[in-house]
This record gives sequence, C-alpha cells and structure tokens, in this order.
Amino acid sequence: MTGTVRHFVRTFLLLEFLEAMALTFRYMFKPKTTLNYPFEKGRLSPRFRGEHALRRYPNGEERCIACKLCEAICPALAITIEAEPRADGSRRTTRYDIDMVKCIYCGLCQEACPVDAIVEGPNFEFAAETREELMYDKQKLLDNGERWEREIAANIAADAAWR
Amino acid sequence: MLKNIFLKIFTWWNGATVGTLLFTWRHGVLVGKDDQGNRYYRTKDGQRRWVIYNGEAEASRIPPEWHRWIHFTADAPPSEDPPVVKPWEKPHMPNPTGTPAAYFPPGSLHRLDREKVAPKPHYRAWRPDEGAGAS
Repeated sequence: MTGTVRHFVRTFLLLEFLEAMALTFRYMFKPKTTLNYPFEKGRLSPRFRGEHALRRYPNGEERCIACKLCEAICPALAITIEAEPRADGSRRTTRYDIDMVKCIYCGLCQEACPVDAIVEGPNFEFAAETREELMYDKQKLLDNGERWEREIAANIAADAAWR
Repeated sequence: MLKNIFLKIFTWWNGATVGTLLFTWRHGVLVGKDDQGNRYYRTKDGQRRWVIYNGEAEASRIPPEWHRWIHFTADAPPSEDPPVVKPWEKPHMPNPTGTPAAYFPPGSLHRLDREKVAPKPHYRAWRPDEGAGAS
C-alpha cells in the first residue's frame, strides 16, 4: 500500500525529472573536460603517429635508401616505391607514394625503417577537400620533412631513451 | 568598424572569441609570440595552454616548435628552449587545402603543369617487334 502511494507521489510530482535537472545543475560548476579548440589543444605523446614525412640527414641528403622494408611491412599496402641508382651511384627512390586514405597509421613503416627516413610526424591537421590531395608523392613527403623537422627531431630525441 | 564588432561577437574564426579573450584577460600569462604574431598563453598553474591567433583562427597555423609546446609534448616553450634549425628547413605552412597552394599529385587535373609531370603509366604494352626477353 505504502509503495503504491510513494510511487504515485513520485510520478505525480515529476521527482525524477527534478533530480536529473539538479544533477545537470551541479555539473555546471564542475571543471570542464572539453577543450577550446582551435585555441586550446589536446595532449600529444612524442610517439604520436600523424602525417608522414621523409627526413633528411643534417647535411641535407635524403635518408631513404629504397630498401622497401616499409613497403613490405605495410599492412594496408599503402606505400609504393620504385628505385634506381642515382647519377653518383647511390641507391635512391624515384618514386615514393603513400596513399593516406589507405594508411591505418599503425607506425610499422617507421619501425621497419633502418635509417629513420619515413616517420609519422606530429601533425594531424592535414584534412583535405578532395580525395586526391591525400595521395602523397615523394616531393610532398620530403616537403613535410623539411617543414616539420624541428619537431620530429625533438620528439625522436625525447623518446630515444626508451628505444 | 561596426562590421568588425559583429564579426567579433558572432564568429569564432576571426581572432579569438569573446569568451576566450575574457578568459585570457583574467587568467592568461603571456608565454611568447611566433613569427606570424600568434600569441601563446598559459594559466598560472600551467594546466592550460592556449593561443590567440593573429587573424584567422586556423589550427594548422601553429608552427612546429610551438606545436610541440601547445600540445604538452614539451614542458619548455621555444622562447626558453629554442629549436635547432637546419639550413635546409622550410618555413611552416598552414594546411593549404582549398587554396591555390594546395598539393595535388602528379597527373591530377587540378595541376597546371600536369602535361609536364604526368606520372609513369602503370604498365608498358608489349609490341610484336620487340621480341621475347625485351623489357
């Protein structure tokens, strides 16, 4: 009998609604977990795997020696490499394409690379208007390396103690 | 003048929003400025870091050395811990998609020089006069 009355009162006075609204009201005064993007940005590890880049040695020589280990290990088959000896006899790629749409950002290419040439940089803001803008060629990857080298080098140095 | 005030109040992509400016005024400690004039702030306890853009609020305008600081990858900002810059490095470029500077792969119809840099074909057809063994 008392149970029925209590249930009637709770239902009639919409008490559950009021409790829920009180909970919402209390949360207005708690610290927020949201970020004020694009002014404020989230935390990234030095190991973050974002947009790819082909690095160069400090003297400006490109690192990639066309060993094709990254192409072999890529689980999404996103990398295409063609190689030829250069005029001075050193082995270099004539073509290094990454399909950024196929790529699953697993980081196996940079794990496989013996000369730290292909790396996944810290940039994740490379969204494009068209699909073909994401079919990167060697020139674009080297360009990424030249623009992001400061941060890539610092991140590799910060993580070197654990590798 | 009036247009600028309206843009300031009702849009978020012109400089900073009013709320962000108020928060900056109350809690912001100026940490530094980059080449483009973006100003970087943190709270006194260092728990929050943010940027006031000089012009359009475009997230990819942050250059790599400040990118590392604002994402909390580094503790020290580049104004205290300047990065090593190699001579062949290029200046930072924001995401160029939608602008004439956008990247397109060789052979794309969007490229003006597509005749000159057309990609190699996927295969080369065999011709009878080549004979066997020729590649």
